[in-house]
Amino acid sequence: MPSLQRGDATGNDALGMHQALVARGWDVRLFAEGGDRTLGFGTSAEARAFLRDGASAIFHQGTQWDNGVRIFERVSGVRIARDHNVTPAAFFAGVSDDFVGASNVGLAQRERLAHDRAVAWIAASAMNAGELAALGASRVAVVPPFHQAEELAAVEPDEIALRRWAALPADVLFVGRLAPNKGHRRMFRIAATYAELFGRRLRIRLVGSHDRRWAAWLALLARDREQLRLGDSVEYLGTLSAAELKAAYLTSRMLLCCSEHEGFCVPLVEAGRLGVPVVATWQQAVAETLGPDGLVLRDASDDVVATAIHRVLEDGALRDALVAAQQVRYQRLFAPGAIERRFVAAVEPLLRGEPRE
Amino acid sequence: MSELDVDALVAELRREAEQLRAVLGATTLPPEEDRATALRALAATPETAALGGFGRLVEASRLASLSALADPGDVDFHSHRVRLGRMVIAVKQVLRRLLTPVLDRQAAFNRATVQAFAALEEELGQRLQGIERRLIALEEAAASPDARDAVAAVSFDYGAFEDRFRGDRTHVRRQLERYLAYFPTAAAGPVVDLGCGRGEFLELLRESGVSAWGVEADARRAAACAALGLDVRTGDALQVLEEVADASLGGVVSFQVVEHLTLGKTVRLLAVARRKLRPGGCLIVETVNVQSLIAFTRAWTIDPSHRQPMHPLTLRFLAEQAGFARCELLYGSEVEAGTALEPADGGEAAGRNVDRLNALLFAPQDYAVVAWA
Repeated sequence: MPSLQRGDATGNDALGMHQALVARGWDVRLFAEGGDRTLGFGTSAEARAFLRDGASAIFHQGTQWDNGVRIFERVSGVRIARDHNVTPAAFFAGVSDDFVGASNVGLAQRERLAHDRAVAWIAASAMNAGELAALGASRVAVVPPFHQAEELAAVEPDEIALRRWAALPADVLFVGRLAPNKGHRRMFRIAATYAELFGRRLRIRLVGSHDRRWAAWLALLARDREQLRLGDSVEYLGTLSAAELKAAYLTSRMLLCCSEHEGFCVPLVEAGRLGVPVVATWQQAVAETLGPDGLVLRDASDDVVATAIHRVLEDGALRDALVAAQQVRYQRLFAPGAIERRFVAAVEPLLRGEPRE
Repeated sequence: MSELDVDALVAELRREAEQLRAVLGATTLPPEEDRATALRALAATPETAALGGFGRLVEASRLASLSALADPGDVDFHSHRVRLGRMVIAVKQVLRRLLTPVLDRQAAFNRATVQAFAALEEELGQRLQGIERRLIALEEAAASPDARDAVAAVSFDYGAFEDRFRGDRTHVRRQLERYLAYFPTAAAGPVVDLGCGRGEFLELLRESGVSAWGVEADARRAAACAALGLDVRTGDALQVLEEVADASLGGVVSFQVVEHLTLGKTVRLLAVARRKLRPGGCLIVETVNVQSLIAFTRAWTIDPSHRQPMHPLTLRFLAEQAGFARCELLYGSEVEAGTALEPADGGEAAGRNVDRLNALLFAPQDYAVVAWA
């Protein structure tokens, strides 16, 4: 993978896969171009040497990584591609030419690999699996990504953050980078609608990284916030450590997700594990992650979403029911053991060279 | 509600929203624009850079906008004059070409200013976090029975103190260079620096191609190390070391730390380090040489947080007790030239006396136990 670090979605996934396969006796090495060196991964040059002897490879396909694709395409052993979501270029149009370019290249790279009949795929969701099949991929298994929800559940919340945020708990939390596909603008509009309908402003906390190259879009968000008279009710917390993120979840009354494009949606899983109810607007992968018992609003106006938020904030029994449903789904599908079982079932037959069904 | 019928709930929410809207009338919110239109409109607004208030989000956009404006030479020339327009533009272009050296310099200054603001923002954020941590500690200390002493201890900003008295980076790097010989190749890693401070030794190891990471209790310093691209974890050194896999390290180093620990903690640190080092791995523990009176009167007494003077033979004994196979003492930090007593002219006995006095007064100010697992 291009970069390996603990705490980001791709890194958590790769480390989870590594752990699962090592536990089953496979000799697994991690290779990345950069990242957290303490994770003990090899460089791409070392990957070439390792793969020369017929080893198999799991390639984490995401945004542009030319060197990685070249290495992967020359692997003589079994080739498996893990599909990570690439945000379509359209979201970055008028915002960042760099990102438009990187997104297009990433998607073209994905398409080229999908045409390669020797590559087996692991998709994070049925939605992504459908996209890959449409591109011509012949072998696609769906395995949710490994994540850090259990680590979050175990970590002590950051004391300073907990004190500061508990003093004024957030009505609404959103976790995800400040990027044009994540639905922040819709969220702001819903917040303004809520103020109209219910006469008070929602306290919103946003968690996630931002990129200075998206300045135009960030300025747009700032303008929206001003025009919609949201004032200080929207608080941007930036990138948080695991302990701080835990504090953010614990001091929030619900998670709202209005994302327009996701391949899975790890924060929904984290919220489920930590007992934070979720309200989401419909997007295929979001609906898939939350399942039929999650409160996913399809074709809903801002009025309806605002009303749903109000109901969840006011109705303790509903909150409990949502949390219970999310936790059942977590245990059934997204607990580490459940993901590991699906991953092993998808990957081991390939690695053993068992014939296709 | 024990079981959730989401479809029924959503239908109910839709009805409720409709009723509410009917009572309140049409929305007064400004009309919604699609992203492309909104971005175009915003680009045409001259106040873009001055949009106010959105915490760090606005900091980002404001700095980015400043950054975009950094190059004064990056201007499109226009003229509204019909006939003279082209000539006016041409003249402006020539002027710009002539002014290029000045404009380039201005652009470099502007970019440096934006970067300085960004660095300042980062630093202030870290300082604020440090202050908040100390505030919490103060609140807790104030509630303890020995409140006065506890509060005084918390109020002492050790990071700032050390910044002033430990010496600048160049000095500290020079002091630590002698230890690089114990980690001659990349195979000697990974090395853990316990209490790595500003990360000077981690930097030296990185330059030598030896993988290394550090532990630092002061979050502000750890962040400063991270800004230098060093891998530093924040926390209690011993606790972090405990979490490392046994026999996985090539080196454990700790400079000017054990004198701050209790004897019991030093003994534990040595035992844990021994366990974490692979066979042949190297431990270096440097501290103040309390056998040198000048070190005792300067380095030891200047730092009120020093707790446990450690005689070199004692520290070596403790390392041996911890199970290290071979332990050596390495002395360093000679006193400045001209400080020690000069050889006397009064014969052999006087010379010996001067040597004795120098050994007592001006012995090397630091020493390290170097031990191999």
